[in-house]
Amino acid sequence: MTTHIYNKVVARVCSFLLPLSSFLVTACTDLDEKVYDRIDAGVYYQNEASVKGAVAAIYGQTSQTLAGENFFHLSEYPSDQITWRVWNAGLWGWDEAMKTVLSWHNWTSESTIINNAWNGAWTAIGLANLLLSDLEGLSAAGLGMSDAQLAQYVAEVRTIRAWNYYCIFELWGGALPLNTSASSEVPGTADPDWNTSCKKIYDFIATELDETVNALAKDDANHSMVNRANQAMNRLLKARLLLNAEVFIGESHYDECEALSKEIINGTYGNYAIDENYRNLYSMDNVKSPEVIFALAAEDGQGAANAISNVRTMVGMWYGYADYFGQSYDGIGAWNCVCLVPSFDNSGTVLPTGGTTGAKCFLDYGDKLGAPYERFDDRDIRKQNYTYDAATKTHGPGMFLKGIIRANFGTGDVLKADADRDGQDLVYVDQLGTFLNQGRELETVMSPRWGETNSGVRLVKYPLYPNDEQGGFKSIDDVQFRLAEAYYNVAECEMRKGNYTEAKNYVDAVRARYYTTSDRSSALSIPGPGFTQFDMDWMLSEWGKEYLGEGNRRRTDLRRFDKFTQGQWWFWGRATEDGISLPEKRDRKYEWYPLPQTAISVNPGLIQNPSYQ
Amino acid sequence: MEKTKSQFCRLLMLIAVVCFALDVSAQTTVSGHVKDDTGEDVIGASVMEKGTSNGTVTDFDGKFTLQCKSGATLVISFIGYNPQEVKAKDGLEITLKEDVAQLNEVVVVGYGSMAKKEISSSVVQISKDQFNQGAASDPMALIAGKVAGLNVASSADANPNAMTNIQVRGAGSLTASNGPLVVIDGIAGGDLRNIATQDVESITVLKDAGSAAIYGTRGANGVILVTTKKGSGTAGVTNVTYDSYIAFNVQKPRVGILSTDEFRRSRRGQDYGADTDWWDEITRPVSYNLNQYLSIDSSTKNGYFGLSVNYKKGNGLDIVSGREEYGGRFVGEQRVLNNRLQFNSSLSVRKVHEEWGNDGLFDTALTMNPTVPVKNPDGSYYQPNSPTDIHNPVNDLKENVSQGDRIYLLGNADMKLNILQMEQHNLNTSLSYALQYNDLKDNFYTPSTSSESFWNGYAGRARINYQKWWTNRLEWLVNYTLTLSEHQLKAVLGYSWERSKWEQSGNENMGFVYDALSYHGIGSGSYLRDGKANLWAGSSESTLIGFFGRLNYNYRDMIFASASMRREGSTKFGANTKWGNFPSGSLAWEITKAPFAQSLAQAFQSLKPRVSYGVTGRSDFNAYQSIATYSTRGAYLIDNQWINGYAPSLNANPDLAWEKSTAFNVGVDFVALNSRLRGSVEYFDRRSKDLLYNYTAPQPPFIYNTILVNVGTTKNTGIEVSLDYDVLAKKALKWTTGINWSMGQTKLTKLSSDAYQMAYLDLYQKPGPGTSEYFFRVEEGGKIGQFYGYEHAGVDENGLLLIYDNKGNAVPAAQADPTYKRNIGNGAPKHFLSWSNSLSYKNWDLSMLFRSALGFEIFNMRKYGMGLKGSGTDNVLRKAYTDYADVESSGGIISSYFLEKGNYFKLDNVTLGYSYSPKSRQLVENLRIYLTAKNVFTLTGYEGNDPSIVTSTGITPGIDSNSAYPQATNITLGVTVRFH
Repeated sequence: MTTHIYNKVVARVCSFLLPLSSFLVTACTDLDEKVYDRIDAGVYYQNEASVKGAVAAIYGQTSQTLAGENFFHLSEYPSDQITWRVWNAGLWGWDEAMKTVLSWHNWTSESTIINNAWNGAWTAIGLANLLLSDLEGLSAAGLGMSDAQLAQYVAEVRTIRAWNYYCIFELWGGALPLNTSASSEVPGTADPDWNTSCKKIYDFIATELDETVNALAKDDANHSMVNRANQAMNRLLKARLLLNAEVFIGESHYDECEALSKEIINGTYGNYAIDENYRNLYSMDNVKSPEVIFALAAEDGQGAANAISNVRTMVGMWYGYADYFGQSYDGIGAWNCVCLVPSFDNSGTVLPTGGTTGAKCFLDYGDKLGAPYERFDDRDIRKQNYTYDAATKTHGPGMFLKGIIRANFGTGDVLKADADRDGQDLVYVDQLGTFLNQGRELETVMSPRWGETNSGVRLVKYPLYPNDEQGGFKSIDDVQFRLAEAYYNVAECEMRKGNYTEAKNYVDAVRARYYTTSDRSSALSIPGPGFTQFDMDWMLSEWGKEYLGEGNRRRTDLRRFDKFTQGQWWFWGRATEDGISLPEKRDRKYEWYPLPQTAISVNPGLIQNPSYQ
Repeated sequence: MEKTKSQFCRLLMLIAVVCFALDVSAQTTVSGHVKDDTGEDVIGASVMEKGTSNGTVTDFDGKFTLQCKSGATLVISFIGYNPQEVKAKDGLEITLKEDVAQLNEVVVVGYGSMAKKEISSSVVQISKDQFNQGAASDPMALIAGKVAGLNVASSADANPNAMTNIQVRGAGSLTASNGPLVVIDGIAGGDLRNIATQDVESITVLKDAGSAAIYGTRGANGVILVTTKKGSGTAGVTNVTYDSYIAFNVQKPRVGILSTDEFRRSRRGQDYGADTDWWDEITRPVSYNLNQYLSIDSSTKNGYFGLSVNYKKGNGLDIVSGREEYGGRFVGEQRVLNNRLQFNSSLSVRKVHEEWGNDGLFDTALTMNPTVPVKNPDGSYYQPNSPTDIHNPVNDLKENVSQGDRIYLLGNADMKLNILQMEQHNLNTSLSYALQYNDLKDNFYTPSTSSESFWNGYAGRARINYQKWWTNRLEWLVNYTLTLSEHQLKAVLGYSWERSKWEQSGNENMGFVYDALSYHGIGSGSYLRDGKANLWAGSSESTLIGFFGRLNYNYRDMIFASASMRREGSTKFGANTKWGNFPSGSLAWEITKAPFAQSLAQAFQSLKPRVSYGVTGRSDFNAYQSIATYSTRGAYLIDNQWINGYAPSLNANPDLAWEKSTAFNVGVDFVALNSRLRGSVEYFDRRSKDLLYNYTAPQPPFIYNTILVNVGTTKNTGIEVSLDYDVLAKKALKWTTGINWSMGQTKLTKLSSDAYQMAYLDLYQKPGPGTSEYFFRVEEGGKIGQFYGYEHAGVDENGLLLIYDNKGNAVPAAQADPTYKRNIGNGAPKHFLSWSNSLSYKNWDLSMLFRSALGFEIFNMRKYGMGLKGSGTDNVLRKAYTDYADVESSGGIISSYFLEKGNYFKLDNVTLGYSYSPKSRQLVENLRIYLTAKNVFTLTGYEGNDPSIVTSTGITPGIDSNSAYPQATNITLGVTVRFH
């Protein structure tokens, strides 16, 4: 091999190897991650469809969160109408008192439910912040949309974000931080001064709603915007904020609330009317009801349908519920732990099926709160057991389950109970206690720690019926804003001014539908069980009856009337628990919830509600 | 084009010239004869020219001839004998001495092998002849109890689809795996189920970071190296081995529950009139396991090949579980160009069909009302509809189709160039490609008549899911050995590129008219028409790249030192933390070789203290956790259409990295009393930091409430002692006994950083409806495996359990306040002990392995769930009305009443074997028949299941599941015949 050839070979080899080796060096150390089954965030926004996708995720999350179980727990159990009761000798549903502390008003910042509510709402708000921030850098034209279209999406997202803020503001008040940024910087804290902080959030919500209302669509005759944030939903939320302004910021905005509510009633933000048949509000076609302003969309197998039906339909059901509703089971767990707060104490003679004869009604104790079933006038069409007629596909007017429960909407064999009354007849009693003396001897008044499988009347507001009919009950949309609220807003504002008659007129405009024509005038002329006059207590009770079991309103209502920790119902001051105080009046610190401990531990900048420090 | 080709030929020539240029010495032919120290000829001894791969083996008369360089050194070796080095000359007479202490045994280590005496870190190798006998679910069962510090646990021996759980030196990680890295013939991450147990030649455990650090981000839990059989040793000889067994699992006495009659008298539930033994209905008394294996191995002068086939079939103690496997394996080596170039390849393929039972139904069968009938009078299955008996277990098991088909493939092609083959210098380089592929298609169908259909309101559900995993690996290695008279240096350098991919696609549909179509008719369900069927797919990819090197130094067989380094990166790591360094070092000193230690050498044949230190990692988390991506999330109705939501997939962590473990190991290996006593004692201290955990993310600003971050630290310490002693070493009767003892614990030393705070970890949520209680709470400074609950304070007059409050008063369980909870026990055994004995007399051999775990508690879940009169289940343990009759109910809380000492001592394996070698050795070389019994008896005070099946690995040990698989004594009859 001559030197000449050798050099040539070397040159060839080098010219061949150098690019190869530089390629190899990069390839040999290349650690960029290649994404397959997800989308690189940098290229997500392409067109209107991608904007819709991001908006859909926000609505979806909001449905999971606000219509989901945690907000229901926090709103209803500490109140006077619905309870989570333990059963089967104090074992089933006890769950380390996770729910019971809510009924007992002795929760702490360690509460799992408080923590879950926090997490869910901030996810919805976080998604909204991210979308709003991402869209700031993009032009409508670049996404193939008109400016107005894009502005409407933005306004929707801002309104939905404001609603999420409203719902957590209700829980945490001035301890709540405000964050609208999408950066990963841990945001500043709430203002150390509670009132300043409350004002900041209040103003934020009010401003967001005011700024976005005009960009939102007004709903049309076809109700095509009923599932989206629309003008009337925005305004009714604003009215809700104004009505509660005294609780939130210590300012009275009742006049503004009344004026705005009247605008809504008068059709400034879309044409709405009170539905003559209250069942239409909760049935499959409820989005066509003239009363419904905004409902979270639900369809079996889609989106948050399961989370939504879980709360509004399964609450109060028992394992064998399918037999009553003439359907097969459809995969959502029943919530046998939940029932109405009992209307009667446990005095009298114990019956073999549970309950007693000769019990005393809490109305007769003089309570202005609680006793939800007996609070209904006997002539009220709702005060019957729920039925469904498959032939005519109509729901009976009743919305409760009480007494002996027979299969097929009360027409078949007597159903059997389980657990502590395994194999015995299923008989729901309007009482709560250990009539079998299991776990604890029966006492005259017992707290929800001590129930039985038969304890408590059950509520069937959103209907259940055979799931091969009408597309299945999971496809019913979940009504969150309806016109009745505007009427009750006006009624309460009038009542606060002492205009009892005017207040009663607005209430009657809604509740007239609950009485047959023959009963109507006489029934409306009296304030009903437990009341002697049309006063503030009665007003609060009417709110309760109208929105019974709807999950989102009760706590603020009680707070607005200062009854949440100071009101009297059921076991307060009457039952005892070892080591637990159940006084007639509770500590005012329970007016607001504490921030969850886990949130504080990862963000030391948060300021705990001073009452829980 | 033509020109390029010729240039390329020239390049090849150039390489060839360089390679052969050094091969110029004169050749000579030598012959010799090899005997052992009793004068017997040694057949099949290896005779190698030192520093080269040139060599041969002795023939039937112990003789050999070999062409080699004149003046070369020959190395003569045979398994079980000390190797000898002699200068090559004609007419050699060599006598090999038995290597009782096996110090020259070749031990496989990461990227190479060493003589046992050279090892300076914590490495234990178990060879084929020491394996446990009898039926084995996977190769790890072969070495259960054989290595101190290695916990091989099996929770369901009688389930043909169950595998062992393995753990080296305790659990150090919270969310990453605590299982060691498995390396099969050099291929990391291999699946143990791919290998026929008969193909395994040896299993090596790298326990410390000194030996495991060369595996970088994956070495922190130790490394298991599985080495399979290569060709037969003797050139020109072909061996045929038939190695098979049949095993029977005989169900142990069942759990004592109320009989139907007792149930009626107890008035626990409604009387449905029947008399059903649910346990009997869903289990069988005996199951079987058949394992057939045949192999052919052959060697030539320039290579070898081996071929094996394996068939396995078995069923389980439940009435549906089953497994059938077909496996084949090829391994070959060809050396060419005077051993300059060497090709190795192997391919192992296995097809498996699995039929799956449902362990949850064991609990159902025990708790179910025995008066409920299996079937209605019309022959249809009875469908209970009370919440405590929601499933008819017989219906579920018999009518549901639940099965999987798997393919395992492991292939390797390796090309090695021996550049230098001289006595002093040995240099070679190799390039290898490996492919590992597994897939699983699982099929499910539940008919319209099943409980599931009943409770979910549809007519049948079909589901098919197909997943595949594959890894492509490219590896380049350079080995260099320098041998001087007193110094030996071995170096290895390497580069490894490994890409792993996972893919999945699946579909699910409900509402079928014909159950007979089963999952095959998945498209015909009504849910697809209604738009409610499900369809999904997934895919991910990650690449791991490593550069590594190791240097081993041996000074006069007295000082041994080793240092290694790996630099490794992965696509999964965050942008800010792509690469990490994993160094290690170890040192050992053979004291008996020291000039001053002559007197010591009388008592000790070897005394070798050693110390090692190293850094390793854990990185077995999912891809795509560090980068911002969007995935579908929820859906909403927009413009009258359901629109898929898109949202960030998770809270991305750009700082995401491996868990880092630094470990220190000090030990001493010794051989004493004329090599009759062999053992080692060691202490380790392993600290793992940057532990991954899904921490609570601050919300706001994060969108979701958890983020995977590196925060915690644990400290893992322990002592291990391993002793073997030849009690009787006479020619006819031999008895060797051995003890392995390990003791250790893991403490959580840190759980919070400045950014991420956590006061404690709650682990293992109590099963059952509406529960938020956890069995374990690990706090900073606390031990892993600590039970957290209420302390039992007796029983009140009403039979209700009492607990201690914070003032030491006994209060009813009904008043349990979470603040009364405390550490009430530890579920991780403090001590593991095994005692092995092997005896042989003439052709007979007998081995016994006892195993024990001490110093831990077990939570008796069965007693908790169904052990008391007031239990929420229909049926209960009979003891509820006898032994525990004073207690009414558990109060629904985790109380130390249900904790029991878990200490046990069991006879794990006893094997009696008979071996026979015909004098003529014409056809049959060797025949061995053995009978093995496993799980013979267990001595324990624990009242639940056999404590040896209770989980002892991981971070939530010591919970005795109430749906444990039935336990069995396993009897195996096996035969091994070697033909040639």
